[in-house]
Amino acid sequence: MRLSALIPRLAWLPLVAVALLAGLVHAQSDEASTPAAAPAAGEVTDAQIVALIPALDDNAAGPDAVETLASFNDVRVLRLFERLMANELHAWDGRVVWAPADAARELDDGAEVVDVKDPLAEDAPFFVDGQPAVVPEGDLDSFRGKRRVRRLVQQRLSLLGLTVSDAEVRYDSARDVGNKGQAEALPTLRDMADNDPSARVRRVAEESAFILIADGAIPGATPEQRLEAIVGLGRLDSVRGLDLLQQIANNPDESAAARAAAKASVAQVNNHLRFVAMVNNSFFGLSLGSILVLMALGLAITFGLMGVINMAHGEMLMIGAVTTWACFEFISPLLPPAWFNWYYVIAFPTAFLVAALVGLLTEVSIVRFLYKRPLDSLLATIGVSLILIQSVRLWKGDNLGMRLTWFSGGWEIMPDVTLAYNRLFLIGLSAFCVLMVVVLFRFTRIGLLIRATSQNRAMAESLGVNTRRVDMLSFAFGAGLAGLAGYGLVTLTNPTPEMGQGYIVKSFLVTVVGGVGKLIGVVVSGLSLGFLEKFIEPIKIMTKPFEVFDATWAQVFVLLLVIAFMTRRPAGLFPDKGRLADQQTGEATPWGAGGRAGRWREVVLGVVMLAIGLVVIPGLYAAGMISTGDLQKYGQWVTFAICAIGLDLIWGYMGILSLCQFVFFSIGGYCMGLYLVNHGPMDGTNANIPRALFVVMSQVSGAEPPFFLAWFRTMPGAVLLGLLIPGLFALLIGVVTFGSRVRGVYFAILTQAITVAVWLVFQKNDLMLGGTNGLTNFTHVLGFPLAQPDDTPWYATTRFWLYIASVLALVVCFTLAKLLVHSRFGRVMVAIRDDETRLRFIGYKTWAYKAGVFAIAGVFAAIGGMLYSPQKGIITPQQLEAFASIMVVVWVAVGGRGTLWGPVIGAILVSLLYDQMTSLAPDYWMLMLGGMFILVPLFLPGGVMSLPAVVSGRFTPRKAAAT
Amino acid sequence: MKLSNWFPRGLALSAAAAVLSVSTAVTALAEDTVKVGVLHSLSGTMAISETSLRDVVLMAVEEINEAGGVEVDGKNYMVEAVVVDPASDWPLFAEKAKQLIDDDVAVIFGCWTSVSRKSVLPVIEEENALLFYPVQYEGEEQSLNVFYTAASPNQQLVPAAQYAIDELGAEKFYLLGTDYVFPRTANKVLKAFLLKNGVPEENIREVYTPFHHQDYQTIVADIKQFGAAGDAVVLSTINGDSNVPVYTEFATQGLTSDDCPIIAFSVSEDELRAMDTSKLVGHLAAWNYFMSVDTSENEAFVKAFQQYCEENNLPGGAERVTADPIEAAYYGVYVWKNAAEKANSFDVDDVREAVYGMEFDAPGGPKKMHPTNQHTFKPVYIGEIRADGQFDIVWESDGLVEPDSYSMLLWEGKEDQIPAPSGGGK
Repeated sequence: MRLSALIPRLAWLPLVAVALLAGLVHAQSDEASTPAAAPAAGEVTDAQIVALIPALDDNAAGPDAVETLASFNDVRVLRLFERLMANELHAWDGRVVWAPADAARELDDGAEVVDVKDPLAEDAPFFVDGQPAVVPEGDLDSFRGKRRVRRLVQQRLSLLGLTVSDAEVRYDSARDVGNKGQAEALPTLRDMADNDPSARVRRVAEESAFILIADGAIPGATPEQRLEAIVGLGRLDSVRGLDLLQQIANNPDESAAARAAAKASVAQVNNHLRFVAMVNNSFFGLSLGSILVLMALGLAITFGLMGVINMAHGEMLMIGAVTTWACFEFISPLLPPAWFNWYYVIAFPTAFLVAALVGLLTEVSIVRFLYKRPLDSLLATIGVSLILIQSVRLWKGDNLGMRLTWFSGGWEIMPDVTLAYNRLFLIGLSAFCVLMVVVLFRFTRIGLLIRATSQNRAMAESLGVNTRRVDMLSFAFGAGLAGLAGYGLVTLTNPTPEMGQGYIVKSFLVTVVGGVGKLIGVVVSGLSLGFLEKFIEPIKIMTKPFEVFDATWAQVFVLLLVIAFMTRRPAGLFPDKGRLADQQTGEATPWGAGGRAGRWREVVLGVVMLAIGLVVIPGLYAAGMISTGDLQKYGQWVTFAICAIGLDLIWGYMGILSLCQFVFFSIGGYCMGLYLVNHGPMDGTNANIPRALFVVMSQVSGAEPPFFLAWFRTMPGAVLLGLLIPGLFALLIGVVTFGSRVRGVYFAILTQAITVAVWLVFQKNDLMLGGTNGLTNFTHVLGFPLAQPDDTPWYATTRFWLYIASVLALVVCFTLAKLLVHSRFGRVMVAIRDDETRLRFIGYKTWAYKAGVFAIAGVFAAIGGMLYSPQKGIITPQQLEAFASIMVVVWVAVGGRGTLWGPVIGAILVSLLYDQMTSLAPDYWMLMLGGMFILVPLFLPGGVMSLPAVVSGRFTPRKAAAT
Repeated sequence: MKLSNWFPRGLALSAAAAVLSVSTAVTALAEDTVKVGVLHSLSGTMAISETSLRDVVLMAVEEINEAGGVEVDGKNYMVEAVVVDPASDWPLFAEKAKQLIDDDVAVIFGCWTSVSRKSVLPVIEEENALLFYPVQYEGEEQSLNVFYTAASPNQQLVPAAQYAIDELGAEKFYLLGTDYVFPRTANKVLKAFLLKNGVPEENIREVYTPFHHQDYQTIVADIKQFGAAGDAVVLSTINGDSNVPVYTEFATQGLTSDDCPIIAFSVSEDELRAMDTSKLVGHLAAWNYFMSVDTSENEAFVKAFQQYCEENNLPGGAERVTADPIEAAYYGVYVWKNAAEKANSFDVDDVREAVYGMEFDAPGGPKKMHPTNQHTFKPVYIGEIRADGQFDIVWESDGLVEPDSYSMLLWEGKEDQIPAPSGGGK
């Protein structure tokens, strides 16, 4: 029950409480019928009561003390109980005193003291030696009593609460006396069930009365009365009584009639629960859906209409949330305490404006140079997002706590269904934002101009539209909307610098499923995804061999449904013919491989890189100038390069942006990981489980090893599976998606959905893949130990040969890729990039080419992954996160796509910088890396590989393929 | 010539890899300093928790230096902290650990998540390095290269479940956790304990959500139904940023700590700093230290930490709070220092021997290192959340509780199969 609700009513207590206490504790005694006739009060001295207080903190003596105190029928006891339950009693110097929550005051010398009060009096100082006591705050210890004793006190107060004037307190009290089996409350409950003015209270009182009777708590109850109660609980749809009803229904000692009645009632309650679940799921779905809409609305403008692959969208949202926090932090203290919530009103325009301003600055300084190169906007906006995250962190840290009491609680529309106020608010905010967008776009001039520009920029320009201004305003407006989403989300969660990362993937998904460029699409897709997830979450899909039922699986299924849907409707719910609809995700490479000079460069570059990889680094290692740890690191970067080459084949050469490249890498890594943990049983323990698996799996997924472990027992088996599984998986994705002509950004986001689904599945700790800890504790490769003594000669270390194997694998993959792109097949690839439609009309089965290359890329990644896990020593689901696959895109973009050398250089360069800067500048590396991601697309449009052309001033990016 | 224009640059970029790493490897140790590594995420999802540990370790280092450093072999060594950012990137933890070891640190203070520790483990065992790990975890591990200064399951989970039965009168238990190893193992331990105490299986419900889960509407509605009769308790191993939505949803669906208390195992003062605690009053947490522990040592520690944060302009400044992992990270530094002085050496094998059985005064009261199993004897507290974000200690164990490295609830009858400790000297 809500004690806080009782406390303010202490004022009326002196008048009524004596009567209540007397009337309830001794319901039968007639002398307590009026307040005036309460002679018992005078007979108890303060000292008698005070003497019993210490017993409240004693489990043995406590119950009797509560009984005795209650029997005094005294308002002083009531006050004592109230104050005890409100945690306002304090122990001080062997005494128990009352100090209300805000009683401390500051002396002139800065010391905090408390004017402690008498725990029994209404409001009187606590006297010590005739003087009011003033106690240094630090000397007060809280006096709460033992939890068990508090429960008894609480029960006394519940009895009391049945008859107060506040309906909320009566409701809680009536519920509590039933839950706690307080038989003495039955007469009052019955009276309340008939006569209480509030229908809610009447229902809960009747329910509690039935529970008490049905539970057998009332000694004199007849079987008929019990039967009536059992039926009554069914009639009331009593969820509280469900456990009890089930017990009665299953108890062979009960009479047949009681059991039958209980069974019927259980069915009735379950029926009610099904209905409640329907209502609840609909509301939860609506609320989640409206949040998705709110999140994605801003992106629908910056990405959907303007074509910027805006990876900083999540951070715009974060800026809105952090601005709201800042309003709390800086404005709320200026307001009168009772008005502190009003900062939230001020935060509404502020969050919008600040986020819009950040968006405006981003547009003016960075994005506007990249409209013709949307892929470069991806890289640059990742840079922006890193910088924004770290700037906020450096400003105020990660821990941004705030308080808002406006939206706590909810509106109970029927028993067991409460619509939370904060959810209602978010639904409203979401609707408001949608309305704002509709009004702006449909009914204002600027909206008209934005639409015109997005549909046909050249035409708009020639009609005199200032497209620069339109771009600036649209981008700022999109960012502002994201800011409003952040503003709304703080009612559910706390702002942190990293929070945007959690929303970006879903925002893109919602935008793309809706149909890029269509605002109505965002609304429909956001709401549908919300409803889907909330209706799937409570469903048990299967239980064997592992349980498929919970929030994780619900998300996995939503993603699978989305993927399936997109293969049916490759352009989303509402296909659009706007700027992005037909746009390919890969423009022509600005810095091609053609030309005599180009070929020379390649030869020189090849020789140099080979020399570094196979001569310089091994040489330095042999000379002891590079440690084994560093060598291992370089080996890993080389495996990243292999993975990046694969992406360059599909992205750089065929123009297909894939956001799941690292998934194949990780699956390859897991396959090798399963081989590496397969090194024999652990001495003296469960003979089935290899030691390494034992470490990560034993307690989590039972003692039995997973059935598939045996497949990975030998190196050839593991390698074969490591190539086949990712390869076939990639082929499957390719055939299904390209076969149904999923293209462009739709394909990119579809692959991202695959990434997230795989990540969620690998994270499950009951799947026998090591869960979040992944696979680790590798000790041997092909019988050679990974860990070797320091004095092992360099040529005999396993890790040296792993490094060499990685470099050789890179050389092989690079050569294969080179041969591929220079073959006739390669010409087709480039032709697909430049004009797939024409090629299809000529008669090429373009989807087959695309699927084939996609599978080859997957195999390359898997080769990298298989070489990665033994060098890294651990493989975890973290490598499957969406961001890991985005990083592959970053490597290729930084290095220069469509060059094959670019991905190699990009992967190694970015990894090197990440590795070094996280050590050299732990607080600033995100700013530096972010800065680089911005500078590369702005000044080296073809990546690092275009450096020579840019420096010599010969760089002229070819016109983008289709705008 | 275009070629020469860029060729040397390309070479320089590629060679930078080698040069930068080589330079760190050959750095010589100054005569009178000893390096220690600090391996806590300063960016990424774990930064919110781990940054405080970095702060407190640096404070301990500063204190030690101000007091004259570490005295070994008659010489006073100043402690030099090497801070790196493993960026909440689990594999990067292994790399950074390796880098710190190559940089000749005598000891590493670091890690929060289990997976980051598992990632570091092979490296430190191979190199016979030493890690002080300051966060409560799932147990089932005993590496001779790690000292676990925070709780093992029997020092946190079991007392809390006992408390729920005895004092809260709970009959139904909702085990809610983030889906990773600590909650999975913790709930296994809890379930074993509850079943042993006669709680019927159908009164225990186990539910997991993914990391960073935000939407708890369905789950809280389920809890509400599960606990409709007012006899349920939630044992929560929800981690990190999911906690705010859980408690918020609890409040908005009208559940109070009187209806259905939550006992949390991963919510400390530092997490409460970011929450609106008015919604949380009366919910509980089980730890081995609370900022409200009433000793003069603790008061001094809290004051020192707040002053340190203020002077160094750290976020939060003088408002900063201490919490269980912060205390554990702090005294870990002193345990290492005392052990080095006792062993009169920085050698890992010597220091390890000196740590065994060491008794010491921590801010939260005297504690003791286990003589064999790498863990720490600690008191157990259960606290109730107050409106000011602090805890009222409502229960405390009778003295120090001996840590289990492998939970006896899971290994009963299989004691002989408990794995031998891993790692150790060469």
